[in-house]
Amino acid sequence: MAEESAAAVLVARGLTKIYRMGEVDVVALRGIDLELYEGELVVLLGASGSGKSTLLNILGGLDGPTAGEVRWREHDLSIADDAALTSYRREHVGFVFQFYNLIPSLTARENVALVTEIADAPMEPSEALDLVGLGARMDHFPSQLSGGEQQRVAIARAVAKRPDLLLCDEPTGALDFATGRLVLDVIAQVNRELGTTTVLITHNAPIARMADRVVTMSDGLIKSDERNAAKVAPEALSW
Amino acid sequence: MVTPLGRKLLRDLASMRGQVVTIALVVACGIASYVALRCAYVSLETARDRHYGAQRFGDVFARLSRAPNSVRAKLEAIPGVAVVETRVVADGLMPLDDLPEPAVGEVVGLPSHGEPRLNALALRRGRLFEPGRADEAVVSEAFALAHGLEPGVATLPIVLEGVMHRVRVVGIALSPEYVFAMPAGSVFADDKHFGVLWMDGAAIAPALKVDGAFDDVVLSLQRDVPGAAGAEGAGRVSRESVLEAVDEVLRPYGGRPAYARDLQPSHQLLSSEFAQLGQMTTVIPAAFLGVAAFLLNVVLGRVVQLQRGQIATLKAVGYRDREIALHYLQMVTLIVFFGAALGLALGALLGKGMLGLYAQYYRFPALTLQLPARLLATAVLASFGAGVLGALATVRHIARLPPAEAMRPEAPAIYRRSWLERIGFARLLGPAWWMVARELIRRPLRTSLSVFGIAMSVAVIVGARFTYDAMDALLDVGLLAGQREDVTVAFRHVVDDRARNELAHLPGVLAVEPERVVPARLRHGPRSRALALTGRVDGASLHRVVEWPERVVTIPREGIVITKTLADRLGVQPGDELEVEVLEGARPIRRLRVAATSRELLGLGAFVSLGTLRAMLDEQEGLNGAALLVDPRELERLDARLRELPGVASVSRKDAWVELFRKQSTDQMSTTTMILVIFGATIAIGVVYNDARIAVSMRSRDLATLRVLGFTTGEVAGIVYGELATCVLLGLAPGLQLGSWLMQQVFSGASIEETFRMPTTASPLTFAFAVGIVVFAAAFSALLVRDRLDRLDLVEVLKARE
Repeated sequence: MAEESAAAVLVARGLTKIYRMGEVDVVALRGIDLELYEGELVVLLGASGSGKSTLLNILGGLDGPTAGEVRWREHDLSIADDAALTSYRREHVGFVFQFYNLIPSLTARENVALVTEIADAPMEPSEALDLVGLGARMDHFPSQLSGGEQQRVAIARAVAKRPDLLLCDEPTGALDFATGRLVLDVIAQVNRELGTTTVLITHNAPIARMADRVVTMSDGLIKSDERNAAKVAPEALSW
Repeated sequence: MVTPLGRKLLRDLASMRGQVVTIALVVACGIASYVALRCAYVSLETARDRHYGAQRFGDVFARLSRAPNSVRAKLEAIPGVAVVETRVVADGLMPLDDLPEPAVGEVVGLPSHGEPRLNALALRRGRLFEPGRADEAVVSEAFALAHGLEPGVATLPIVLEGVMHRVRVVGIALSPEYVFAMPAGSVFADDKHFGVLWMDGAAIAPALKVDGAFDDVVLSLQRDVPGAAGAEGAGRVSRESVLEAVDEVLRPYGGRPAYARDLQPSHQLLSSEFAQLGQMTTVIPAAFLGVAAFLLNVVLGRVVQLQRGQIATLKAVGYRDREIALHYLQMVTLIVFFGAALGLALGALLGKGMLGLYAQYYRFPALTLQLPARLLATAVLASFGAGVLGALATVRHIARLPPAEAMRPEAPAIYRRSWLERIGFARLLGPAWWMVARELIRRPLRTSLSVFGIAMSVAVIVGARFTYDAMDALLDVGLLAGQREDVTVAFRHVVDDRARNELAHLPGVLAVEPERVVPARLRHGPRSRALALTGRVDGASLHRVVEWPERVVTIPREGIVITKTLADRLGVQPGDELEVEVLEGARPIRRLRVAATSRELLGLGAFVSLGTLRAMLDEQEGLNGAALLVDPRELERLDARLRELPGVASVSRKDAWVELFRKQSTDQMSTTTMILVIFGATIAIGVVYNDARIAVSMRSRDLATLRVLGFTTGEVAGIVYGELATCVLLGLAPGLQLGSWLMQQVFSGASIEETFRMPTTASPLTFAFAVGIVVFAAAFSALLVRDRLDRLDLVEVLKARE
């Protein structure tokens, strides 16, 4: 990693996170060090409960660490207040969630417009939906779309503002194999064509083959961090 | 252009329309009741003030036997007096073709040109009398309407000083003195039996045998005279000092105590009515807006809970906290807006209807609905205030919700064994009841707010129906229990005891109870009050003093019995001494011990034994009134005979005034009561329906799980209904209390207590009625969600939570 030619845009040092769930304390992260470089596609691999979603939430400014430090370029996110984190998400980050998290009362186009409304130099919602192949279904409500289609709307919503960082949390987790591969293809395409730094969380090891770099997590710790020499296109994946 | 969040807002509202409608209706009831009551109040006050202003209503009034016109100059010389109007006023009987018994005509003499300087007429139709014509009269509008009198066409027969006259009706008019027109001594408007005839005073004076004299005074005060009682300082001019001076001037001429405007019969009744209305305008709308705030709080709380994921997404994609908070605040604002718009329209409509009811009894030249913009704005602002107040906690919660936490499903709600279970009570019940009890106890605030909402609903309905109880009590205890006679006769002058025997020998008379009533002033320290002092025979059984709750207060041979309200005014208690000055004849002054006070429901009164009164007056015999018990078969014949007797001033039949009382109270109450009952039921529906919807949506997972475990739809519904029923049951008892309390607030206040006191408890029938309506409304709203319970999607609900 030392020989990376691109600059590290996001740096995490010694991240620790402890949750209180009901009446139980849960330690989700136990001291994580990580850098993300401009334009790369990183797959964060780990079993359920390994802490990868928690890490993603902290990297995306949805949550703060209990201890440790995160820096986005020159900004220290770990000491940022709520308003600063909101601006960070608003200006730099696009999210894709496992369960899509579309607003059920808004159509596909309106769900994307929700983000383009508040972004600085966004795409047209229709352009973003064209990008994910849903130009024809723009006026459908989430309930009228299949799971894969909903996830592609979610991706369109995430990329429409041209984010610097695209964070995808188990984007294929709720999808069947063929649909999942289509969604991954869209993510890879965004990464390639827009040059968006992308982090993709999955518990599904074969998906890691599409990454530039694979980070493996277990029990709140990073177990391995390897460059993927044999990157393949999502169409070539199978699981 | 509507933003995506704007669209979300509208579609969310559309999807929860049942709740939007029920809450908006509660808001609408609050605003409508405020607008209707307040606008009616403002309109009546405006109409009254304009009428008083334009027709120059007097400030001080006095009756006397007769005084030469020269005395007027003495009255004008009293410091603080602005204008004096002297006149003749006399009662005469009018045998009319359309009535079995004669009506009473009050003849009021005006200056020949028809324009008195005080208490002028507002001519409605026709013209004034020609100067010098003793056979032309302007008639009061209510009487003219009741008999279909046409100016220029109709004539009226009237007996004055024993001589029958025929006067021609030339005009129809209103006067500030008779806004609420009632015969002297009555509290009921009786448009058929009582009319005012304004005539040329100089022209009719000979017929009334008061040529060159007057027997009635109206005067106005200079603007700078303080009106407040007790404001009198050494040598300072006050309303009280004017009253005393008027009494002093009129004393040699048989003057009765002068009284200020606040005791003028028509004005006093209006004030009492206005005061009730004024107090209702704060009490009732506040109840509705309180419930609306609570409903918005609960519903918004649920919406936010259900939309946790959406809120998290909005935050994740970069929406700021205040943008999201504003979004949900707009939801509340829109609901309130619907309610407010509906409430304003409904309120204006109801206000117009209320004025229509008032217009039947209160005659103003112009009674039009006033809708002051400031008042409407206040109503709308108050409802928005209530809405925002209700939403505040939730909106703050939204702002504080960390996005990552919102993304995760909520941690399992923390339930604990409740104290009910710990004491072993729950073992008596099945697990379904544990669920009910734990749910209610886990959310103590929401549970108590629901209970409060139900209580408000019960209270509003109790309040509405309570008026009937009060009127029943007023009639049964305030009137009937104390007045067991069939006919009351008042004589023009004091007659000797032979009159008693003559009455006893009239056809159908079974018993006679003579009475002596004199005007008197009661004093205690600096406080005083002029009123009628009644002397009754020992052991009187027809006319009695009866207090509430029903108990007969015996008038002792020595001492005086006064009503509790009067005792409070004078600051005396049983055992204290009062100075009693009789305001006629030799004006004797005696000190009497207060033997008892009675909590009478009606007005102010003072009673002594006939012996005590005669001793004070230094009379051996003498009476000026009598109560008669009459054989019902002879009643009509006796009535006619009595009215023919020359010495009889008035004959009052109980059956007639009971009917008037019933009609008057029913007319005024039925519509208002119905509206309040509907409003009260709206609250119950609003509370129960929203509680039910929330219970179903928030616990659909638990309920579906139960269904999967083998519970029937009925058993699952039972758990939800159990919660609702518990809240309703818990709300009933406090609601009944609250209702009685609210109505006491409405009917408290000095000007109301002068005319009547409210009994303190509602009847069991009222309680049963309120409970019945609320339980029915609750059951109805609970059934509206039954469909949702039966349609629980077992598979979908058990899938991963988004």
